[in-house]
Parts: sequence; structure tokens; C-alpha cells
Amino acid sequence: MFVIKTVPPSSTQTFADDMPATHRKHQIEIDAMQVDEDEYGAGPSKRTIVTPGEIITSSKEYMRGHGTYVEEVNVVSSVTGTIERVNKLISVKPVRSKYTPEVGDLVIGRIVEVGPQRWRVDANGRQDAVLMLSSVNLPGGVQRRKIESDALKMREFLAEGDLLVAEVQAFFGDGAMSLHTRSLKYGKLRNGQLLTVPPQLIRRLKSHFHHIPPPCGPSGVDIILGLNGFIWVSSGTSQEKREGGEGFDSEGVYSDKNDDITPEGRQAISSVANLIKVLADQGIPLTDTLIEEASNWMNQNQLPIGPLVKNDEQRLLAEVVGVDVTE
Amino acid sequence: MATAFDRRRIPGPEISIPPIYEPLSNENEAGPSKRSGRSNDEARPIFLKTGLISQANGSGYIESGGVKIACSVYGPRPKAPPYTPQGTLNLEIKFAPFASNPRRAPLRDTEPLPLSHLLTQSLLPTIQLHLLPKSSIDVFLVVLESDTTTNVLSAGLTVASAAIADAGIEMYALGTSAVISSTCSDTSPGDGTGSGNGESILVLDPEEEEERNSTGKVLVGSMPALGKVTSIWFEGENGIDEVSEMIEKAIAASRDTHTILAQALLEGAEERGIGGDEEVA
Repeated sequence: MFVIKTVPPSSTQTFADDMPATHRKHQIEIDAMQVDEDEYGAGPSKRTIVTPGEIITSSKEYMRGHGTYVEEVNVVSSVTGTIERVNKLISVKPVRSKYTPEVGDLVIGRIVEVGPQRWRVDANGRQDAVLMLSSVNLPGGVQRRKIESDALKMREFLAEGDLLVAEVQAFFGDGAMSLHTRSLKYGKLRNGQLLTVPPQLIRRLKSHFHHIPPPCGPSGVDIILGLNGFIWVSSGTSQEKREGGEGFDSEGVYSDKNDDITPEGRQAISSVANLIKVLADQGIPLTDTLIEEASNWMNQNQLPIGPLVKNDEQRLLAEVVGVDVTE
Repeated sequence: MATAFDRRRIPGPEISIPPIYEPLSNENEAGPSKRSGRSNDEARPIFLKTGLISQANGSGYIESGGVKIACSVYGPRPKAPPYTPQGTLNLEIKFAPFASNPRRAPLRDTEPLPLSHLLTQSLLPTIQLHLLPKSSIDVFLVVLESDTTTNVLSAGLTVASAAIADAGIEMYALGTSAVISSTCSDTSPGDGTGSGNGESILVLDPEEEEERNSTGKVLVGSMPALGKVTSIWFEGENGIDEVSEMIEKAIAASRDTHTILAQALLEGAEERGIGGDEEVA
């Protein structure tokens, strides 16, 4: 009775006019072919944004990756995002989405439920993560066996609302992550403040634990960049204390009590947190070096205590990141 | 109705008098926009923006004709048992008390429920729910201003797709919709019988009065990018050929909406520092 005859107008779909309609190719594909001619290289192609339903290319020549699906003979985008191409694999990286975990990722999560032999953890994923009792270190050393009484005392170790840093160990069938904290670097978090940023802004780094040394607060500031977009900014500790060396308090790992933090220490934590918020608001990918540079910039400029005023924000972004945000 | 009294709300005074306005010098200057000034196949301008509600995973705000809707999307998030192999879509339309004339009584309003069902049906085919086992997506639409229910549904589908796309949830395509109503040319306005043999006029994006005088109206939800229809809702009495023509016109109109929707998503992405001119280090 009614048929749809033409492809809808779309603001980003630019087709080459000299090709017949049946052989239409998305501009990105034409660009990609030119890249292939110039140099044999893979990697993210030109930054082009597509919207859901937009035809990217033919599925005969390319494989579909994340963020795409195949409709008839075409690879079609299923999210709003940038096209990325690795050889024949086309994927679309969403502009904003929930965290998509990978094994080995460092994440920060919050306990939502204590269950039989396991904790359920909110780690900003599509499903709650699971932390098994068998994949945590209990006070008393790595070799300590877990006995029945430990299962009964689970809430004494980690209760609802507690924050922890952990690593993604594996996935369950439904895509939920299984976490582990079997390293002295991981475990319960205290003495600090949690920040939430879009997970896309956290880059994979060599180390996600970062220490900003003393000019920033009396004992420095520790930052943990969780790949799920949760960032923990806390009062600084020495290298040994963090990683189980001299002075590591193995009994205090599950302590609920914050240490005494001096007012200067608190100021340092919140000023670093403010810096991260400013950077994240502008959609700037966060790295340890960037945050440290921004923190040094703060110290050099002797800014007043408290959140950055608009003017200082713009200066920070211009001088440290090199982004001009003046309107 | 003492039982329906909500103690959490601050009740208004028992006696109230409507404000008296000075009559306007020119009727065209204020009030709802009239068809005057646009042709029969021209829609009213649409304002659409994503990402205005910061605590939601995705959000959108639309102003389309006499309708203003704010939409927020939460999810995908874990769903309480029982296990479902596919994701579930929970959609809720709510009207602000001041959204329509006469005012709506809070809690006693029964209209949003069937509207929520209709909108869910037209939105469902656009989302790839099979990728989200044990999860749910919660979509909340708050209607801040409304004229007709069809216009609310039409704008609702567009803004809900925008918000879901903004949340980064995998979709088949963006859903948009359009409303076409038909009016008999030989019947006087307000007659509403529509039994005349005269040629009927098809109007896109009808206003409240045009819809009241119409013999039939059709709301078509579609995915213009794929050339697929998600839902058709027809009300009234028209010949089969005429209805087909109305549907054709609605599909053509929703393509224009699709352009606006895609543009809004791109602008939303650019605001997050992606795809703009400036390359971030």
C-alpha cells in the first residue's frame, strides 16, 4: 500500500554523487580507502559521528564490530558515536554509555548487597558486579583459608555502601563482571572522596594508582582512576604503606574509621577533586600526568581556596590542556 | 473526595478566582500558533536538545508545536528477578498539573496510562533489547505543556528516541513520528460529521482546533533510517485510499523530524568534546 522509496535525509550521510544509488558508500568508507592507498595502517579513522540507523558500509567487505549490526547487506550503526576501523573491522564507539568492562580493568565500586558467599557491587556497569568471598584477601594473610565463620562475618568486612577498588576477573554469562581484590593494592577505600565522571574519559594507563607528592597537601594526595568512571581522591600515603611494605597495616584493611586528616589535607583533596571535575566537564580524557600538571599549575598560581572561578577555569584549560573555552 | 487527598501536596486555597487579562490588541501576537502562516504540509518548528538532565543516563527535551516534554532514561540497569532473556522497557508518561487546560488533578489522572502503553508499543521495535538480558531500561516522560494527545505521543516518540540514543543504548534506528489529520472541505468547521462528498484536506501537525474539526487522524511512528514503520494509530472515519495517503504523508514528514533528531544528537556529541573542530590532546 505504501513503500518508502528513498533513504532518509541525514545530516551526516554524505554520499558520493558519481556512484549509482545501489553502490552508495558512506564518506568514511571512501576516506578509509584513501588511507589504505597512502599507507598500510589501521586504527581509528577520521572522527565522524554517526547516529543509530545510519548505514556505514557494506557488510560484504567489512566485519561488524561493537555498536553496529547488519541489516540486509549493510553495516548499520546502533549507537551515536565515532566510527573506528581496525583493518576490516568497523565499530562505533558511543559518545556516552554505561561502562563496558574488560578483564583486567581496575574499577571502583560500591557494595549494594551482601549475599551468600558474595557481595553485589555497583560498578557503573549494565549489571551489578559480583565479588565472591573466595576472591578477597581477608586479614591474616594471603594464605588464610576461608572458613564458615568468615561467611557469617561478611558484613564486618564489607557492608552495604562501602566503596572498594577491585579488578575485573571474569564475566558471567549475562555480561556481569566478577571482581577480585586479591592484591594488597585493592580493597576497601577510606580517607577520601568519590567522583563520578563518564567512563569514556578514563584512559587505560600503566598504573591507575597515582600519588601527587606533598606540595599538594601535607602528605600528598592519592588518586585512583577507576576505568568505570569512578575516581577516588584520598589523603596521600607512602609507597610502602600502599603496597604492603613496611608499615602496612594488614589488620586495618577493612577498617571503617577514617584517619585524622588535617584541614590542609582536606583542602588538597577537594582542590584536586575540583580540578578533575573541571577537566571532566569539558570532556577532556583524564590521565595521571594531566591531573598532576593541573595540580602543579594550581600550586604555582596560588589560587584562593575553594572551587575555581570561571576565569581561573578558562586559564587552567588554556594553559594546561591547551583548550580554548572562551565563549 | 477526601480519600484522594494527598497530604504531601500543599493544597491551594478553597476559593480561587481566575486572573483577568487585558484583551490583546492583536490576536495573532499571542496564544497558540495558528495554521495561518504555514501550509498544510508544513510542521511547526521543533526544538530538541539532549543531555539536559545530568543525573539520568540519557535525557532529552523537546518543544514541538504546543507540546513540551522532558524525557529521562535510566539504564540499562539490573532488573529484579525473575530472569528475562531480553531487556525490559518500562515507560511512563506523566503530565504536570499545569500541562493542559483544564488543570489535571494529581494522582487521579487516568489518561497517561493508555498513552504510556501506546508509546511503549511504538518505541519497542527501535531498541535492541535482545542484547540486554536481565536488564531494564526506564524511560520517564514529563509533559510540561500539551495540546492534543496525538501531538504528545508524536513528540514523545521523538524525544524518547533521542534520550535513549543519548544514553548510548543500542538501537536499530531512531524512531520519529508525525500526525496527519483530514478535514472535509465542504463541512463547516465544528460540524465534525465529515459525511460530505467534498474533497478532504490533509493537514500535517494539526493544532488543537484543526484536530477537533477533523474526520480522522493518523499517528505513524517510523524508523526513517531503515524505512520501517513501528506503529500506526488511526482514529476516525476515512476511506482506505485516503488513509493510505495520510500514512504516506506522515512517513514523509517523519523523515524531516529524523533530520532534526540526528542533528540534535550530533550537537549533543559535540558538546562533549567529540566531533567538533577542536581536537583534544
